[in-house]
Amino acid sequence: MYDGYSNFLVNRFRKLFGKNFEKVMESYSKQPKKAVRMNNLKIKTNDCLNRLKRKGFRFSKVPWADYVYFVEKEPTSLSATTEYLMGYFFIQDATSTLPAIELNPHSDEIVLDMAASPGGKTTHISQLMRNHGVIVAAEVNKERIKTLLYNLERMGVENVISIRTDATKIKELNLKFDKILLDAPCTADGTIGKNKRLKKELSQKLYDKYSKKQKELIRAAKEVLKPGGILVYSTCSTAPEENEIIVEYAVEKLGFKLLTLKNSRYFTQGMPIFFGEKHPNYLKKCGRILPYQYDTQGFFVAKLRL
Amino acid sequence: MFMMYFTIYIDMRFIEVEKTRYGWLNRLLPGVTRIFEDKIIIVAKAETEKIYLISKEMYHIYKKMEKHPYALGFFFAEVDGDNVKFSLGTADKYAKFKRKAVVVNKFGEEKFLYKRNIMKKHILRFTQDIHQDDLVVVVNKNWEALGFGKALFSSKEGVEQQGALVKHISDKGFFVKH
Ligand SMILES: C[S@@+](CC[C@H](N)C(=O)[O-])C[C@H]1O[C@@H](n2cnc3c(N)ncnc32)[C@H](O)[C@@H]1O
Repeated sequence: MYDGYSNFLVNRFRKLFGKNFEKVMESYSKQPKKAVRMNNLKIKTNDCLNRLKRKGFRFSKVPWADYVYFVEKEPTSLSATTEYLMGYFFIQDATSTLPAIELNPHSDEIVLDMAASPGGKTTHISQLMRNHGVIVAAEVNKERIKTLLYNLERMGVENVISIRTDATKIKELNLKFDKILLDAPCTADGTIGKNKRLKKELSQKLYDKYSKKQKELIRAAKEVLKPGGILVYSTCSTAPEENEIIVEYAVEKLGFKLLTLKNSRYFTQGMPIFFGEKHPNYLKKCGRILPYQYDTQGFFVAKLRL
Repeated sequence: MFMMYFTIYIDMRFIEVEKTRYGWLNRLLPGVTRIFEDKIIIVAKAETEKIYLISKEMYHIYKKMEKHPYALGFFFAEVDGDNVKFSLGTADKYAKFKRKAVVVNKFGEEKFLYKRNIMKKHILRFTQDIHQDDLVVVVNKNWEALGFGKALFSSKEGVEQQGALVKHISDKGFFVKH
């Protein structure tokens, strides 16, 4: 009935999403909508939109930002347009633009992006900082860090120091940051719509493995965040093990305070109860995007202060 | 000269260098070092030299960092002996100077982005400072940089000859694959 899914995942999603289960499954049977973020470091939003419209592309604005658009009609490949090559826009899932917006970085700050490649969020943070201040972008993977550099160059980003490192050892840099984005490596179970193999591959063991890694990463983040500094935690997973559990850990064990999201109205509230277990009520302040809300991937964002 | 060494990679070190050291690059691309402006030059030295430009605030952080970067700031060029490969970001900035530039039509743009040479039928106009064998920045009709090429004509003599007039060197089509 649920084509290609393991029994484990169907049962899990049924428990997790309750009355929304069918809607979630229906969304995951389709490709998520493509979106573009206009790169205001290089071009004004309308100028780019008009150029692409003249080529037959059609767009509709996302609710939370006036420079991010869903692609409604793509007559030729967007990534083969001159505008793409010029770095006038970045193609990304619309939900992936939420973390940088919540982070709200300023031009005079020093920001850490702990898991940066391919740079969708690094380039967005740079855009919000108007290419000033400093972003330290950490990435462990040798091949993926090259893609980060290409994207920085294409998008005209000049305020990034990229380092190849395991971010759990970020303390070794001996730097402190005003703001940190931890867009954590995750099971990516919110991307089933485009990564069909996940239907079979996901297991409890995998959720637990990532959960453990995410705790290590957020612990490392705490060590390099200035007092009063902001940490945005995000994943393209909808699993509580990778999300609420990590936030609860950050609050209870690391001394973070969970903040209300600026864009909370666009999210589904975080879950204080899941898989029959009760967790602190404050977890409602986290935000989850369920894939059927905007025909995107599933996503999660939390904002914390130290 | 102030020097800084990172010892973690034995084959790679990052050094701050004086701007004058790269003045000779202006012979290849007149005025290109205007891009240095108020920036600080950091060179990553391995078999080749990768030149990066960073702001003062980045420099401040970079100096405090106890680990070598992978890359930083604006990637300007890669120098291998006498061989210089200016970055595509440098093409963007240099195009704004309106020097050593060949403007191509839509057809020329498509060809060039597929690594093809520029022919007479692709050229809309060019700046008046081009000599045979010069490095030129190839731009489209909006003066958006597409990449670099080598001129096989001079602006004084014009573009009457048959065959390739700009030999392809580098282009942004490369970004599609990433
Ligand atoms: C979810 S992706 C990040 C996407 C990226 N933030 C963006 O918006 O384009 C996670 C990235 O973290 C990297 N990664 C995994 N473990 C890491 C670690 N321990 N330290 C640094 N990076 C890590 C992965 O290679 C991957 O590129």
